[in-house]
Amino acid sequence: MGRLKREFPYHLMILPGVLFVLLYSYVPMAGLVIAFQNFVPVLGFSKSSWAGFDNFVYIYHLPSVGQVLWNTLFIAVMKIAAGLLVPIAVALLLNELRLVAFKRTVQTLIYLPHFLSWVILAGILSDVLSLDGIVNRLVTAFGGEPIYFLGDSRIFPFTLVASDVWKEFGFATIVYLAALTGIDPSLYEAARIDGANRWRQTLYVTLPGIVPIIILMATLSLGNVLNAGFDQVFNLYNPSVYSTGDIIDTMIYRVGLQQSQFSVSTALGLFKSFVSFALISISYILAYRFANYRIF
Amino acid sequence: MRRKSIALLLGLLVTAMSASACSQNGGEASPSSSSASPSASETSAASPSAASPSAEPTDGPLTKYGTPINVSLLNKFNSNISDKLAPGDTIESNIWTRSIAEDLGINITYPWVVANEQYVDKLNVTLASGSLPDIMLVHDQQFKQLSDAGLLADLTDVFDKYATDLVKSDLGSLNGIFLKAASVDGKQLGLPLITDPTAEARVLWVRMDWLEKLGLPEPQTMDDVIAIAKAFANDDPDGDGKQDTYGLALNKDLFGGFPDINGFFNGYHAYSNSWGDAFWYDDGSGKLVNGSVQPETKTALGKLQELYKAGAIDREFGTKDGGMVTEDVASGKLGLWYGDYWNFVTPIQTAVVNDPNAKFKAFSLPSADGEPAKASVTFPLTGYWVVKKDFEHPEALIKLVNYYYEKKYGAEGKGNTPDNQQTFFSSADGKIKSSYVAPVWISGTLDPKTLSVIDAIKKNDPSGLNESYRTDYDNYIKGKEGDASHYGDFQNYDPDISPQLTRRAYADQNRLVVNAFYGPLTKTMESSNDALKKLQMETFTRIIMGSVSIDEFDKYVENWNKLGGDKITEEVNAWYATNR
Repeated sequence: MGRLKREFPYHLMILPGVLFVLLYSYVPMAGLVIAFQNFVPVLGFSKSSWAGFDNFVYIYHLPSVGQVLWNTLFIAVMKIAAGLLVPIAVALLLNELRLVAFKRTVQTLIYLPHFLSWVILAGILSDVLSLDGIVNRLVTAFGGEPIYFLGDSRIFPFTLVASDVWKEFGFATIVYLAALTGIDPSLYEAARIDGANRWRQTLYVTLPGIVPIIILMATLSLGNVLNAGFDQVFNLYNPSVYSTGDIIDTMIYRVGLQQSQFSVSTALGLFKSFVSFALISISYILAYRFANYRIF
Repeated sequence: MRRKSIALLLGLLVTAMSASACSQNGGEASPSSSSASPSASETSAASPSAASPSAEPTDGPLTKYGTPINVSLLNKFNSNISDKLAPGDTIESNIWTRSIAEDLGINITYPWVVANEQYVDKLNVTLASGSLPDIMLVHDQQFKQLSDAGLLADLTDVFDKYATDLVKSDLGSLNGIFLKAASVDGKQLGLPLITDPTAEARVLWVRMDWLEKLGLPEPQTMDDVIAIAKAFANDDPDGDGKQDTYGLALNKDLFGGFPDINGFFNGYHAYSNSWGDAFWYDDGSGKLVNGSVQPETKTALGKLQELYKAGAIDREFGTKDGGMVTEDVASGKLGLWYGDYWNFVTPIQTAVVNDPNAKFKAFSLPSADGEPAKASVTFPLTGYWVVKKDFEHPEALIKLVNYYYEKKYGAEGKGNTPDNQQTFFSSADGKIKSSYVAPVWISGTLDPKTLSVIDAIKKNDPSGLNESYRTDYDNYIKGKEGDASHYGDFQNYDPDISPQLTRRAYADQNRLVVNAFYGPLTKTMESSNDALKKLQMETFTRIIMGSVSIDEFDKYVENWNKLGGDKITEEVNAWYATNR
């Protein structure tokens, strides 16, 4: 009883958060019923007829769904991998810098694109990456052939990954930098006394020191394995790169909102959620097993 | 413990679901107050003497409601609307809404307002929420859904009773196919939002000063077009010594918008698409065929591939949208495109302001052989004005349409008064465009203005014109005398180069191919349209860019049929058999 009294303010404090999660994350899930209906908007949930698993069967038979799934996986996995490695490398490099002002400046500059929306960045990118844009001028200056970054279906996925990493790595870098400051300096001292050079110190002190954070970031990002980034792809893709650039979310948009097939697009979204849920569970179990990392 | 919390969660879910179900039922169950209205209008019909103020006011086409009524309305608006309104006016309160409240006793409210491009998406969301406005502008699919669900008011009687003769004749043009398209089982469930079919017919725009400079002939055949495209790209038409110009313009969506490559296909008697959608026409056998899988389309695609290879098409067209191509024209990099007759407004006007030497001309579509090219146009119906079923005053829509027509064409339909033109449509300098906020509008097929101005110019005598037409005449003269800011007016009305005459000639010479399918989406269309459209756009783009050979087209036709194209063809022909 005394305990409850003591903790009561904390429960009260967390209440708004819980209510918000319930209201905006759980209540709307009721809408998922339309994945199992032949939903007609004007009739609403209660009057639309039931379709069982027809919508899922239909998706399975959609001709482009295999390709779209593959594109989504490919782009998302590449993004996760690059989005994990690049910030670690940059954080390690920044950590070695002695000049604090320079370090801070770089940190801020690479963090900046994180705040721009893809609508704006897509406009900038289509200029920068055009055949006579600044990037291709650089390529031709070194004697290369201009590359059609946004129109060549073989290159487009990599353009997506590179531009996404460029936009987001500053944010993750800050997380790692914060983790780096938490490493006990006496460990470095001990390593130096044992004769470890800078590379050895990085390998045996710094990296192990941030492993929990790396695993946390990796685990969290695995939930995105079917999120190839709607904002980005939608603003950058075009018919010539459909074969490698069309992802589940852009398909949901076209089918659901442009062609008004709400049931089908909800079924597609539900399917995506299931796969993501499975993957995040697996990655959590793995993280628990191998790194003894626990969220709950 | 865990099991308990799961049970709690499920409980919550179930409660949430049933709560939402309840609210749905609640909406349905709310008693409709419409029962009073028919009897009211009947009484008014019975006592036609509008002289006595106590008589029921709902009477003639434009009679004011005694007690003002509130009408919630959804309509799409131009996205750059804010800088086109009179000072202090908004979409919610402007000359139209105020005059309508004053003259008709109708107070208009908008539940929400979004820009043109987002209208359909947002409207879908609104329909899903179940709270329909009284009057709204809907598109094919929504019209079908609403009429299937029985949520639309039958306008047959009120249209017959209230519509003015002018409205009836315009909406009833082309033997009433528009009205028929907006009716289901003989009931008029909507008013068709129609446009002049030739308004969408493409013309070939050529930059004439470049043509003269390079000593090329005016385009008569498709070979001429190809030669001009190559020359414009490679022979430095702007004379700056740099190879920085493009030949034929394309945008990434190929069909529809600016520029529209449909005109090029028409030159080879191919009718591939109407905008991004399928185009169906009778190939002479009494059956409808899809244009995008016909051999003529393959020929045209082959020619485009050839042009791309020769450098006569912007290598980056695959990532350029209409806005970027517009800039190319305005900055003097592009001088050949298939586009709309009104391109003299944009981008040509800007191009001429930037470079006063620039001259443009719109040509009727050249043909690849001796047979004249026909322009493919969408079934010129872009939407439906509908009324919610239980709305008390379905005739309000008819009155609003009447009102719009009266303001636009004058009481007798012979032309607008200058006052009305300036207050309700466009100020003399074009800076204020009140027409953008008309709550209910129908473009229609009438155009008394253009023809009478051109006529006056031919006769060199503006005395017969009313004042607002006179303004256009004067602007024409200014443009003719070299005022670059009025080049558009000059181009619009000049009897020698007016694109208005070029496009009207399509109708006079019977050179229009109208998309013959205007029914609701068929079952297979609903499921396969996205896949088919994607397949087509991808294949066509890759063929043009030369990443695959032209023979890929045959594979495309095969896949198209496999993905549901053959089924859709059957369904469309089943519809055609009963609706032609």
